[in-house]
Amino acid sequence: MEKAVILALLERYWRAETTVEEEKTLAAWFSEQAPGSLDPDLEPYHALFAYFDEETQVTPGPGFEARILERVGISEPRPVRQFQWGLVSAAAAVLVLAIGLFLLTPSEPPAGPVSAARIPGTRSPATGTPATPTTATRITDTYDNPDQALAAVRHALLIASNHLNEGRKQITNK
Amino acid sequence: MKRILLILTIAITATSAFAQDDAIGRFFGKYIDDPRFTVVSVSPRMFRLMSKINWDTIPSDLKQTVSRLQSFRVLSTETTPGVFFREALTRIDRKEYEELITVRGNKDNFRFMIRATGNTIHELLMIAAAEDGFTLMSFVGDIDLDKISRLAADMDIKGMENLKNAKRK
Amino acid sequence: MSLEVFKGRVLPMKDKLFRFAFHLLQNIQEAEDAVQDVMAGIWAKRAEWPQWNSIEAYCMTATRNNCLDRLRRRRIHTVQEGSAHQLSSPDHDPHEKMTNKEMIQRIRQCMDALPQQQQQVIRLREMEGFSYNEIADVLDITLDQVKVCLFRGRNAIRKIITKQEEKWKKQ
Repeated sequence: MEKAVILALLERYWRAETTVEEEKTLAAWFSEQAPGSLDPDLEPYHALFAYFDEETQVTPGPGFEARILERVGISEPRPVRQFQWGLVSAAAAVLVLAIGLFLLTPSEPPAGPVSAARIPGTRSPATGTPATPTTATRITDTYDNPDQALAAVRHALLIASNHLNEGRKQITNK
Repeated sequence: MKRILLILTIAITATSAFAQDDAIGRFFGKYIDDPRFTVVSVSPRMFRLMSKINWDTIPSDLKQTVSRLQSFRVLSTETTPGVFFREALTRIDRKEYEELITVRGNKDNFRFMIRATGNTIHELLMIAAAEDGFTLMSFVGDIDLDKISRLAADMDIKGMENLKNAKRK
Repeated sequence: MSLEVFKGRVLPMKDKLFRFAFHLLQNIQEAEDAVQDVMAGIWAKRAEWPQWNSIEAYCMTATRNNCLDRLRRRRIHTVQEGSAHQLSSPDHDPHEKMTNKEMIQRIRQCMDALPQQQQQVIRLREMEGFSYNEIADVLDITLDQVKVCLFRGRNAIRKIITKQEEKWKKQ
């Protein structure tokens, strides 16, 4: 698209005279350009349409529609489960899985140098390999031994305690 | 037989599901692998090991507080603290986490949230944005706020100096 | 059949309603709750549907009202949310590079600082593609007011963009 066309559209955009279609054209055009590659007349406005695009990215969690339907009280008829057999085999399966997970929970410290990660207010951490990648659901220890762990927890508790007290003071002073 | 199986299942899955229980696991899991973030974790197992160390030199309030904790996690980053602070608030389930106290300074913002059932507090969550960065801190366990408050007051003068010097860095 | 209408016209609005609720409430869980509330309410009123001008507009208005109610109930928190933005000002954060991202931040701050109505008009227009009539319906304002809000809001953002550009040129 011609730079002139876009500039003309923009001028009408600022006057709030563009149609929804024209605005879609603008947005689409800008989204196809790489930031930093545009004419100085147009470059500043790349961020504008990028911002609007970003803001439409917020989405509800998965299964939103199902939750709505449940809440509204419209539920699809579900086949009735074969109660007794289903319960036994399902329970057995979960049991096997759970035992497996339990045994797999690491009791060894993570391999490689331990990284004393940053707690606000501490000196910069000793450099080391970054903490081993972990899934959110399992907590893998940062520290090798309970003394180090206690020191970190203690430090963090003091920080939290300090700020908590500041807050409480502010409240009682009102 | 079926019933025993079921009870065993529940018991075992409950134990290993501990770690999912904190706010960091539930709402901020994606930051854990994010290279911009530093992570500190102390697991339930480590807390159990802690009970065996020498507590002689440690103040009683601290001992009682720590002995009642199950897990502890911190996520922090130096990048765009304000942005992360704002984003953090959008993710938390406010039905479960209620706001306790917010401390707002000129250059920083600390928000404390708790997860409780009735009068029992299960988790204390601190969300902080300051000049040196953004921090999420979660303590899971049997939380006594008054005891935690006293920890800072208990600290001796030398300890206070150390903390101040560290912050000034 | 009511169910068909609901599934065909109301349910598809869920993401739009969610974004709108999210803008007001700034929390994912609450926005979801609000939308669920609204949809449940609309289903409960299905006998009245034929009387409405537009189910879609009703959905949006109901969402707006539900959110405003929630905000009133947590009055204190709304004030505090606003202050968090001040932390990202460039003077405090030397790590932020002068890039597109910073401009986007600046625009976001500008938007958040705009009067409520201008913000809402811009959102409904730029992000949801609503016509002036639709916006007027949802927000319960006149067409003229819609145009004025859009004009003022857009130009406020334009001013910020220009200011930022000049700032960068000087550095």
